[in-house]
Amino acid sequence: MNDKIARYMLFNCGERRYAVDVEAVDEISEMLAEHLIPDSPRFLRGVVNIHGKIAALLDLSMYLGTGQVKNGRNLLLLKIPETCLALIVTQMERIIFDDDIIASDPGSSEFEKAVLTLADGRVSLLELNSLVLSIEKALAL
Amino acid sequence: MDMSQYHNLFITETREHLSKLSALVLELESDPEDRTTVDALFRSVHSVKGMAASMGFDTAATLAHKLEDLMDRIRKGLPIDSELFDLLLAGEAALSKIVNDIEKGGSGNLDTEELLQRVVNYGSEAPLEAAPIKPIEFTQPIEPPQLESQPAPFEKEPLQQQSIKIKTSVMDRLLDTTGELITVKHRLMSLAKASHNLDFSDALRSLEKQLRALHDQVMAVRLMPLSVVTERFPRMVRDIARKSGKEVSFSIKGGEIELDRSILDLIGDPLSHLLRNSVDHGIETTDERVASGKNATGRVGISVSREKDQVELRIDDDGRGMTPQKIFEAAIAKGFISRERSSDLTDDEKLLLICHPGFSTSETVTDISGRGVGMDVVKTAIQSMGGTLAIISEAGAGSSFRLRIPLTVAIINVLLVKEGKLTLAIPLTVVERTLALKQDDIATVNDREFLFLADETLPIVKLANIMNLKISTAANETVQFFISELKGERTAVQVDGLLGNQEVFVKPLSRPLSSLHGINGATVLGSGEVVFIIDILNKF
Repeated sequence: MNDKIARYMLFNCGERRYAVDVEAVDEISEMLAEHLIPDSPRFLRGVVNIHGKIAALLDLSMYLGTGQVKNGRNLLLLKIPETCLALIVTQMERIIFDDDIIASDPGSSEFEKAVLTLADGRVSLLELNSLVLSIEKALAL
Repeated sequence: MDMSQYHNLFITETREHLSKLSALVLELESDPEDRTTVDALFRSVHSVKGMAASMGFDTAATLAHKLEDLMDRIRKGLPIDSELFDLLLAGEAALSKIVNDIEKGGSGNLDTEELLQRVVNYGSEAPLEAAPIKPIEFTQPIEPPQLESQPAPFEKEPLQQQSIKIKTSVMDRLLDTTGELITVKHRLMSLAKASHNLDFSDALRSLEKQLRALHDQVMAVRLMPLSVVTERFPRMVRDIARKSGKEVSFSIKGGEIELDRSILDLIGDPLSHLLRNSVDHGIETTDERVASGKNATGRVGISVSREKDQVELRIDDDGRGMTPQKIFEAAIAKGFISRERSSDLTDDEKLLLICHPGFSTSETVTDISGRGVGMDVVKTAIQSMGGTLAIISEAGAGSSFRLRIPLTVAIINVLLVKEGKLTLAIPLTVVERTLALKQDDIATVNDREFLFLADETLPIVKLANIMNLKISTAANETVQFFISELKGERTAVQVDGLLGNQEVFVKPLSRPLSSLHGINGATVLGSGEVVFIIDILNKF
């Protein structure tokens, strides 16, 4: 048994690498059939039906202004109260443990909780609550 | 002893007693001679005292104790006057405040000094500045709290019926899972059709039967009597009537009829709005009533009856009523409607014009219609839960507002329409009818398209425009519409295709989709397709 504590889930989205708290991951699944949402901004690609839950499908890369995600292979369904949101992921990488993190610096935007330095480069740790709040605001307009 | 597990029970039970208490006060007010009501009131405050004392909530216990003493003095012959009712209601209000405070984690030690003085002084000539009363220390053993509510004389409950308390979230999940099963069944049925396997179809038919039974039972668990919403109304009507100096008697018939709790959550506001209007604007002042030969006391009532899977709620008053033609004239003056439509509209349809947004502004209310503001809000609320509203009124004789609402909102009938690649669901409650016509029946006047039917002309709006969708360029020979009343105007809504009606299970949307404007929920069709339910009245 590995007694190290799993901290973050590392994945690729578009050209960038991101991490989210493992506690905030509900499920990782293959891409599922997408259904369109009427009158919604383009960063929401549609909805998917994950075991009866209707989850909005977020193109994170487009939302953060770094181009559209192409060949999304996986879905990462987030576990946030009262929320049903899935990220389109180009590729899942691995789980990061505490001792994988060489340095942690403050994030540079409201969606970035921290910038983590790993042996193979730097990744953005997402601040999911502000992300959901900001999407909600964009939808309510 | 750890009391925390009794904490919630205390709050629920005390609230039940308090709401019973205020109902009893109003009963006593209408018949002060009724000794059984006096006894029931005594028992009610007595129970509250016992529960509060055993939980160590001294302020509540002291107040309830003094109210109990007061009722005891009444039982022993102290005369009843109108101050008693005010005192008891004030006592109930103070105890409710204390319970709210306790629920929020407070101590419940609110300032009740002045009220205590008034309770103690009732019926005595003692001056108000009597010695302050010290909270009573409950050192002696108190009788065990009566956590099981005492059946009041007006309740009949089978003695042996066993019941348990279920969290509402569990009930919601049960219903959700049942809805899922029904969706899966639809999918299996389309597979069965394609496979031509008779055994498979047979097995599915028995599954369907069982599922229907399961669904019915799950729905039955969620039913609660309408009285949970209406029990605050007698008090509300009394307060409004007092404030406006009117005499109003209020009655509720059929409060025992049960509705789904999701409907009960939604129905309270529209109902209290209608009641408020009836008392404020419908019922005349006492002088006016006497002058027109009516009984000085106005009557307002709610009556409820059940018909199949619908419930009809009527809010009736015997007030000044409304004149359809006057309302119609006012609507013309405000530019909501053209005079030519006069012959199209029945009297009842003219009355419904008061639900047009912006119709009932303050001045028009009492003068012209005798109705309050915000009828558009009421109508929209009723429609969004899948209900309908009708108004019947006669000048001088009173008005009747009739709401028809489904017993439940989880399963609704929708019209499925095609718009480009999208399928959308429109609740049938907002669809008057559907029609398919030739392109020739459309004419453009001042850049606006109209549909010319034999008996009327309707403005055309494209659903794609309402929903901000790309308009498909394919020009079909036939054009399809559904007719709906949008912002008070009957409108032909043009769609790419009409796919027919279907019963669907509504899934409420979670964040962030719940912020989308004009979308009420989603549903999964038998094909697995996810379809959004459009709230066209709010989107337009």
